[in-house]
Amino acid sequence: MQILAPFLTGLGLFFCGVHFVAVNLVPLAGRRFRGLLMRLGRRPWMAAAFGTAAGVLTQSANAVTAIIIGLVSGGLVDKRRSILIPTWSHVGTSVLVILVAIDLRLAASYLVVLTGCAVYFGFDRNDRLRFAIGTLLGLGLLFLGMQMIKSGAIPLRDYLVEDGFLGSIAKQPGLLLLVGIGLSLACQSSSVAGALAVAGSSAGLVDLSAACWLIYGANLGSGFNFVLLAKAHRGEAAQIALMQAVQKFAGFAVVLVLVGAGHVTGHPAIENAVTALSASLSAQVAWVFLLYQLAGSLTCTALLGPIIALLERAAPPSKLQELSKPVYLIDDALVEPTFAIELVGREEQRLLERLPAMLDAVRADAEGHPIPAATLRTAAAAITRAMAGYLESISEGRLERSDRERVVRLQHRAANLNAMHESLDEFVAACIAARQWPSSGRVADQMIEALHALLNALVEAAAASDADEQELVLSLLGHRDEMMERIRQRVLREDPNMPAKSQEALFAATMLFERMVWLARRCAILLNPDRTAGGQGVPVTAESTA
Amino acid sequence: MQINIDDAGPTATVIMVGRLDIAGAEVVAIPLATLSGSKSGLVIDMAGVTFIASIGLRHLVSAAKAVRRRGGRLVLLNPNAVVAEVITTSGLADLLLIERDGASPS
Repeated sequence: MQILAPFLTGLGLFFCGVHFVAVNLVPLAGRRFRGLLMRLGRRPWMAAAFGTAAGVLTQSANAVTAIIIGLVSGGLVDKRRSILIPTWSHVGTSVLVILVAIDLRLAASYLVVLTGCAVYFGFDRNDRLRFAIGTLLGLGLLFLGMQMIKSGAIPLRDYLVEDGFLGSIAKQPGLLLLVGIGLSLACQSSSVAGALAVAGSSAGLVDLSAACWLIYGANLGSGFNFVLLAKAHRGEAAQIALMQAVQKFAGFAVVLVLVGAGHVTGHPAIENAVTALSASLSAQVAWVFLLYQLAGSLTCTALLGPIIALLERAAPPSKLQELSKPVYLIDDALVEPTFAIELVGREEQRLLERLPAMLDAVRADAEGHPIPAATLRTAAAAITRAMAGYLESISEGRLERSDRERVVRLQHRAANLNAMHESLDEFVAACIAARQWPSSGRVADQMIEALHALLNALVEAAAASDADEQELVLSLLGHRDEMMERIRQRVLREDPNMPAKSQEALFAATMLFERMVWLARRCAILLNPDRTAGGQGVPVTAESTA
Repeated sequence: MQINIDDAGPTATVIMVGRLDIAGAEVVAIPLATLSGSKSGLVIDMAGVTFIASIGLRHLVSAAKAVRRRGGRLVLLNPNAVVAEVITTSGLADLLLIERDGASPS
């Protein structure tokens, strides 16, 4: 157990690092990073270059996969554009195998010291700094963990050598394959197992052929690791993880074909190729590792369309993921700002139309199986976030004044729309609580139907773009504070025995109803350009100071 | 939902009894649309309506707008307290005028 302790500690730190990087990098990934990813992902070779660089920097395809899963799940980047990035990061991670000698301990120590001091002395004042420090701390832990894994593997290797275990299995390809799989599953990394193969070959424990089988096994094991990772996710996140498994299995299929062909022709293609590339045995083993990754990644890139279709069938998106996906925010349209703005408007209308459906979970005569309000709220948050990012990308270009004003107005409307989804979800929860008592439940039911009617009227007015219709909706959306107060007083007067919890729920529901009407009014005002005065392009509404 | 119509004269009277929910709204949709498109006034006796859903409100609003466009008005007669409160909470009281027997519009 003592032999395993440093290795396992490193593994723990490595996992913490991966988690920290993923958790902090997602909110930190502002529009620039997103824009970079979008541009890089536009062509497969760009994704390949970016993925390889990411693999070199992080030395972990798991970390790159986790980051891309986070970004895709958060609606920051499109799955199709980014799925090749982790797929090519495997090529980048080969650097660990090639440059086993590089010592990252110093860099890791500096990162941990700097971030530790920053946290202790309170430099993490705002969110941006906090996320940046968290990301750097994650990277520090990741590097530190990796170094501990590497140094922890040395006594493990020595133990295996002394035990004669490595020597006895060196001549059996099947066993070597299993050892590779086992090492990869234990290390959660094919490159660590690959590095062990390089070290073993340089120590003369295994020959090239045996080291090759260790590497093939390590990569197969890594494929199984990604299958396990996919099981912990759903939809697009699972598809991204499964793509990495496909990369590993595709690489294995290619080497199997080459090994088979070598047996038939008597010319082992892989061994001949790496022998031509380098004279040193350990370097040859490292080349085998790199070629394996290239074979897998190239196969995935060449067959991207069919593989994605297969993955979408194997791991279909969840309802939430489906609902969280923008339909109209097409990256290619960004070159034509006026059209791109038009697309954001369509996305907004699509989201607006979901508002009445949020009440279906509590409405008496809702049809079909209503989607929970909380699900619609989460989906709306993802879409409005994507709208905000898209609008920022539009505003980076050269815009005419009228377009710039439309962008600002849409930014306000997107924020307002998100607030409406949040309040509506809270309203639904308050109404459910209010229904625990007859008199408060009656008021809740009335408010639900009233709000449903108002939201439908708002949606129709927004779609019609008719000034009279919009005026009518505005007339319906007056302040409700006095009316709600009258209703609360009346109900409490008529039913003095209402339990405190129901009174609380009634109060919350009526307050949220007031807020919803106010937000709907603000939405109606923002929809009408004549009702907003643009000072430096910023819409000012009658309610903006309320 | 049961519906009785008296369309003699320029103002039609509609008596509704039951729940004005999805099923009820289906019953009243065509008669209301027809009457609001042809009559100068519409009086809907709501005393027998026990529940009104948003879809019911929607049909009443459409009818009221159609009548109003032609200079007429739509009046809801004697709705019960629950129905009246849904209408006022929706902010529709200016469009859907509520009258009690012998009382002026509220």
